[in-house]
Amino acid sequence: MSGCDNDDKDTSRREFIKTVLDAGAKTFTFGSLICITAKLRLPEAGASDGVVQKELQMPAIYGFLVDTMKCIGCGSCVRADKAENDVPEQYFRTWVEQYTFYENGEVVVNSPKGASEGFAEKGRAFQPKGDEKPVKGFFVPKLCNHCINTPCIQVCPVGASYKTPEGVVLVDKKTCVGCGYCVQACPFGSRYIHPVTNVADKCTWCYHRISKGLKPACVLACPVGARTFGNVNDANSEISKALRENRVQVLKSYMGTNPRTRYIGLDSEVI
Amino acid sequence: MGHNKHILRLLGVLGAVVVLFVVVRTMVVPKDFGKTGHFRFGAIEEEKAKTARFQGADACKDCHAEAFKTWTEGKHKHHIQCENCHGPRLWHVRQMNGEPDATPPKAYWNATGIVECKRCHVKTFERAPQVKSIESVQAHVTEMGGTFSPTTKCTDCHNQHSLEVK
Amino acid sequence: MHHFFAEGYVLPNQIQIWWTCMIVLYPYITGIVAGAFIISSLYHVFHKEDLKPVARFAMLMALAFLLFAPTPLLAHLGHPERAFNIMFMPNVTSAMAGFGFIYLMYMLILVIEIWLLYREDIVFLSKNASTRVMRKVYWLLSLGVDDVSAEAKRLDHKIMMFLAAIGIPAACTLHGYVGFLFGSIKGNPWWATPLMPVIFLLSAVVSGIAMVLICYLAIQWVKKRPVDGACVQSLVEYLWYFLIVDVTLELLELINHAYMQNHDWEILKELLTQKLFFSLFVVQLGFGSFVPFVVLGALVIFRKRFSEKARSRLGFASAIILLVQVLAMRWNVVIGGQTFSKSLRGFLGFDIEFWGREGLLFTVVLFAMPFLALWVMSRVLPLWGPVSTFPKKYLRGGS
Repeated sequence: MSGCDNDDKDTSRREFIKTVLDAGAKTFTFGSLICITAKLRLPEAGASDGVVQKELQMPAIYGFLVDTMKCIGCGSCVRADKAENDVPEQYFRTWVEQYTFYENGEVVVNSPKGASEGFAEKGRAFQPKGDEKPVKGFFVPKLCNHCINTPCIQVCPVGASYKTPEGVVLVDKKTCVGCGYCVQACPFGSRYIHPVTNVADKCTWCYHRISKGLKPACVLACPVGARTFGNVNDANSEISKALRENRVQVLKSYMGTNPRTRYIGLDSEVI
Repeated sequence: MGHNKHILRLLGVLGAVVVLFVVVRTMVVPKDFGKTGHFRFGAIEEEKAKTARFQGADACKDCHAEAFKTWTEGKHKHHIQCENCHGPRLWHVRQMNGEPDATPPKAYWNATGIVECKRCHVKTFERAPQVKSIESVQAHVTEMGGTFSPTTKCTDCHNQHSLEVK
Repeated sequence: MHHFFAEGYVLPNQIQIWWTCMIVLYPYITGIVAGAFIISSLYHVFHKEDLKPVARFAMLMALAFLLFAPTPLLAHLGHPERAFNIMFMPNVTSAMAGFGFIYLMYMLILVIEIWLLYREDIVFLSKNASTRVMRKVYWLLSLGVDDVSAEAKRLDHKIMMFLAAIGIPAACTLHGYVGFLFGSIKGNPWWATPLMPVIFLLSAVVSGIAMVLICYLAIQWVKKRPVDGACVQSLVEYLWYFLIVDVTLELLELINHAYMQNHDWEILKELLTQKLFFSLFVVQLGFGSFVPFVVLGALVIFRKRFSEKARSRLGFASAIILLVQVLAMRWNVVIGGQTFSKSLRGFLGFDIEFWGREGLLFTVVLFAMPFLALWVMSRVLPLWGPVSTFPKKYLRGGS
């Protein structure tokens, strides 16, 4: 009978649609789960590094957290870094910026000698022209962001800039040709060409220390705990806790470099 | 037929150049290049191999037990490491051990008893309020009823390790 | 001479402008290569017969400049002895790593094309050059094959057409790539624009045509030889055309910055109105673009009202101004982009040095090298036409 046939056809069509929808829904749920986990894990697990993670034996992925609310601008970090890493006098692997907001709305930024001698009340390099009074101020320590999506490694023509399995961005001094392209590509001014070795140089998060379980020199030297370093893959690490408890921001997020150095209390005037 | 001899010779020359390039490349590029990514794998170990110079306060306590004890009982514990004022330990140890070439590089320092203190404790507008600040050493000394001279150091009145007034 | 003082807040690591004269010179030289090659291709591939008098010369000029294109880069490297790392271990994600291969590919195309173009002459000279040594040199250049039969020449012509055809995209790639080097740096708001490769390419063509025109006229005048009016007219027309497209895009980029007013506009505004005002608005756009636009335009539109002499002189003057325009454009991009700090709050101090590896003197010396190379080439191969135009003193029995 035609009606029956129709019914059968309808049933089978309904059946078919149902199967398709069901499969679609399952795929969608599964897919979005994958997407969500991938998304959640992207910053830490470093999916873009091509490092395959295993749930149980996750290797260390390092992170760095700077609390600008705590920094007092003493420059201990800068001095420690210079001594630990033989940073040339005129360059900096880490430095501290001083932001001062004046009555007239002017924002003045200073970093005399990268703050290696701290900040004196007198002798600021830049001041507003008039007799304006400061109304707000803070310090912002800066260092290499060890980006996940690194512009510097991307542009290095010879593979002298590379990333370790822990996500640390380093320079191979024996391969670098000293073209300076990475210096141009870094949006944060973290790199320089070393005047003696003539190769690119930058903050390594004290890779020689952290690989022995020590803190980076700047973290050790900070008297106020403004710098936290650790394994973000370890839920119990100090940095993991701090990242859970705080709302954090990164420098120049619009650059899309996805930095592993993150900040607490970053003002919109900080570029 | 036979009118392409010069082209064949040209291809021969080009082929020779390519072979030469490949040979030189195999000789020049380090064996561990590209092992785990586009870089020289050995560079990681080279970076790791550097010696740590700052070694933390605990490393100092065996030789400087008394100073360490005063420090632990004072206000700077958990804040200021020995090496913040005295310079990184590595060269100090090497010198003590009488190693030859153990002259500290330029970036090393030793405590002056005033410069280090001022970096944190002289008032700066931007400084977070949790640190005690003075207007200037002179103002502070005068306020406390002392006599200020250009050679006045913080450690004249304060114990350098516990910060207590002597 | 340019002198900037540091002002505002500059990131501590940006104490100096790192890419200076050498990196200005590099795209300048490369640009002349691309432009000269395109002139030569217009004759060899597109059969623009008017350009015949300069077709061979333009091709050798491209080679002379190409030979020296990498020298500013070498002079700039912190480790020139490691330069070949760029080809031994090229990083595929790096635009710069492409340099070695793009350069070599283009060099190969150009050299083979020139070799095929001159093969008959080379074979002739391997038998008729004035000295034994030179005959040996030509024999080596001919790869020891003296087959210049009609069949061999037909084969040569086929390969040449093929190479010339792929040579045009190769020339565009070479120079578009140079623009991409800058245009892809997202950390630098003055560089980061997709227009950069196109602008670099077009200004390259402008500078190349201008250089061909200048050299052609100068050599003809010095040698007291007649100037081909149709050829000059044709060069003037191409120059005008490419100038218009080039400057339109340069203006478009400026207007885009000014209109979009992104987060970087505040510092770019200061850069444009203070630091680059003279070199950009006065030299590059005002004097460098507007004057040749008017003069060349008059030569094109009122072609019949100018005598050949006036046309040559005005074309020559415009071409020189355009060489300055393109140099100013390179300067404004390369130096301009590094004049402001990545803090977007301050400007770097800058002083061109005179002596030194990246100084002004060395820049001028390097820029003179391609001309020296051209002079050497003119002793080896006839630049202006078949071997019959080659000076007789280089031939056996010549005086």
